[in-house]
Amino acid sequence: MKTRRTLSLLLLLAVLFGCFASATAEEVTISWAINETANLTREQYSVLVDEFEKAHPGINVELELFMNNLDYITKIAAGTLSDVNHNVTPIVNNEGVLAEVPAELAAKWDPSYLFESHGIVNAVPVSSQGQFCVIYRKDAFEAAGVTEPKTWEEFLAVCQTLEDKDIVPLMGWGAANQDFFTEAFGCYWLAPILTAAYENFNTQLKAGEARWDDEIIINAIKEFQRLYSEGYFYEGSPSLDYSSAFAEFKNGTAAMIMDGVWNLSGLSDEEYGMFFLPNTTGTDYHSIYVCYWGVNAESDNLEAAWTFVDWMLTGDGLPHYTEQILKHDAQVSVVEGAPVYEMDPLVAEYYEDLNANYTGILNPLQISGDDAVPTGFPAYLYTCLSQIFYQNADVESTMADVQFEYEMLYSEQQ
Amino acid sequence: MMVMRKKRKQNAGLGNAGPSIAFAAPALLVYTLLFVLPMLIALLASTTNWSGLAINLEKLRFVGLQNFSRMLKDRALLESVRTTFIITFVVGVISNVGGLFLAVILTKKIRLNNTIRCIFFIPYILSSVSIAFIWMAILSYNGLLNSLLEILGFAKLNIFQSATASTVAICIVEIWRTMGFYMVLYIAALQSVPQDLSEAAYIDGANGWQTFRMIKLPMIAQQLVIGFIMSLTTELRLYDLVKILTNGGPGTSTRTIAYTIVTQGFNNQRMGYAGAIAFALSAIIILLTVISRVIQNKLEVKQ
Repeated sequence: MKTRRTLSLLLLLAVLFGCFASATAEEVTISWAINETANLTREQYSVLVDEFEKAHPGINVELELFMNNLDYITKIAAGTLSDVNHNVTPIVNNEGVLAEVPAELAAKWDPSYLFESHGIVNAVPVSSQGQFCVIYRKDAFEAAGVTEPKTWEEFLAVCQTLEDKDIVPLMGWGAANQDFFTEAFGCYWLAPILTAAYENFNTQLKAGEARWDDEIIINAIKEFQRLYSEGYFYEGSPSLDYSSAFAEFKNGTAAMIMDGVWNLSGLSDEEYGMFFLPNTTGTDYHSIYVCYWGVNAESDNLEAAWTFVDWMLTGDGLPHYTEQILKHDAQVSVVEGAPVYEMDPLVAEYYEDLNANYTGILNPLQISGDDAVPTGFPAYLYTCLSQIFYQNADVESTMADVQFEYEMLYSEQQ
Repeated sequence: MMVMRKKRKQNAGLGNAGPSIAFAAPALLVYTLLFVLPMLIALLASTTNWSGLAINLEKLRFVGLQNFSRMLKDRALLESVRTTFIITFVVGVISNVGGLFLAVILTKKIRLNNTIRCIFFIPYILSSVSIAFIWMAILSYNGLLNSLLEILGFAKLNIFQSATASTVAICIVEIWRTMGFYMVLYIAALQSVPQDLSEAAYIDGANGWQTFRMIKLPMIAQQLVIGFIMSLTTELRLYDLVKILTNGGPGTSTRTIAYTIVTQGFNNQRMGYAGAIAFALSAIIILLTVISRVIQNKLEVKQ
């Protein structure tokens, strides 16, 4: 009797275990690399994960933090790249890293937005976002009696006037994020100048018809260097990281800050204003950044990963993604028929001005495919720009080094 | 009896080798896997154009000594070599001289001797990352130092705006961090000097300074060499403090060789070139170690 009872209990346990095992065998877990910032918190991403998991029982999503571009390199080298990856531009040209986008999913976007590398479409656009602008404090401008400048010379004059009135003109940052500042310069200010001056800068660069030490580039950089050499930046800037710099600006330490459009969210248009920083050539091009997602080619759960991407960017998840992420980061979806959110006043002003007066262009340093700059080159360029701005390095010789490096990297990677 | 002795002799020869090898083998295996093998792989990689990512292996090309010859033309690298040697020399000299000075004082019988020794030694056992963050909070433009200066009516210091000031800051933090270690090293060295020598010198009329210069200093010369070489090899590999305190800035003015290696390998995806620089740095450190052994041996013979 006792033996029968024991055997029955064991049988029951085995059946239960079998049911549980078979249930968990159908469940998969994918990892999603997310970018946490002051505007985009883990809680917001968690809301999206909850919504997805409700709609797709059997697929679990784990959030993994994506810190910066260097993260991707170390993750790829270690074999721990997430299944779904955010902002993949730094790695999209590395052959074999990202999986090919299924044709039926790729068909949901305008082909010109898709990212193609080494003959396959391997990244899908999430959103476009205007790049930098100048945010200013209205009280500082009123105190100095200045208005929004329209040309580069007017901008320098505004800086000088502010300085004469003992108001620090510009807030900057250095410290751990100094490369981010030079990257921003490269993206925001230099890119339109390159696009205007050359028919196709990247192609001409490869052919030797354009060089990084061309006169037009050197003159532009020298002009920007004046902002440092004239002392228009807050002298404590090198000690500040990006977040601290913005906090100092809001505390009233400086009149202006060149910052991303994402930081326009939440600012009152009664206290703050914004304008597009004029460049030296007067071109009306303006850098647009398109954020791409890609799926790890080595993922064990490719199908689940693409299901996630599809749902979030083109399906029922898009309204949630718009509400939780795009709205807080001043991004605009590039999917036709995507929901439109109510923009904060300064964000709305930015996009109205952009659409009315500027032509959006992609940064030459972020272009994909055959015209892409060599891997590792943008990081070297930003380093050299750091020397120019933070160390007052000689522009001609530094940009000659940049050209030398470009040629070396290009020949190495052919 | 003679047969037994012969057997014991034979067994003694075989017996020594077997257990010795058995005990040393695991450590040798770990050493080979974690040190020798990676060095060989790095040396091999340094003769290629490898980006560091396994997925790029089909684009791998042998480039011979191109990476090594390129090092001589790389201005950013040469700047980081100069910065590294400046920091190494300044920190090496001051840490060791300062450590010796503290050791001389703290080998005397004074009150709170042990407490003072602990206070100086504690920075050495703290994590260098946390030290860097603490000092950044002190030295940054809106940090503790400038707040105190403002209260006292002085102008603020803009340390991280200047290449020179940033380098000095790195040196000060490294000296503060390592001096305690050399102090302990030299305390041990001074305590090993026989007391009767100092007493004999005293009887002969020598003062404290003469006793130190003519008796104690020569007796601890070996340890001084060890200390100095240790500080050289430590500072030549400086990375974490620089990364957090200045991030190599302003611009690239405080980048060290180790910082450049990491940047080239990971940020710029040029692992082959980074390997070449790392190998060159290793060669310098090995050379210094060999020199220290030669000097130590000579000093041993002299003594």
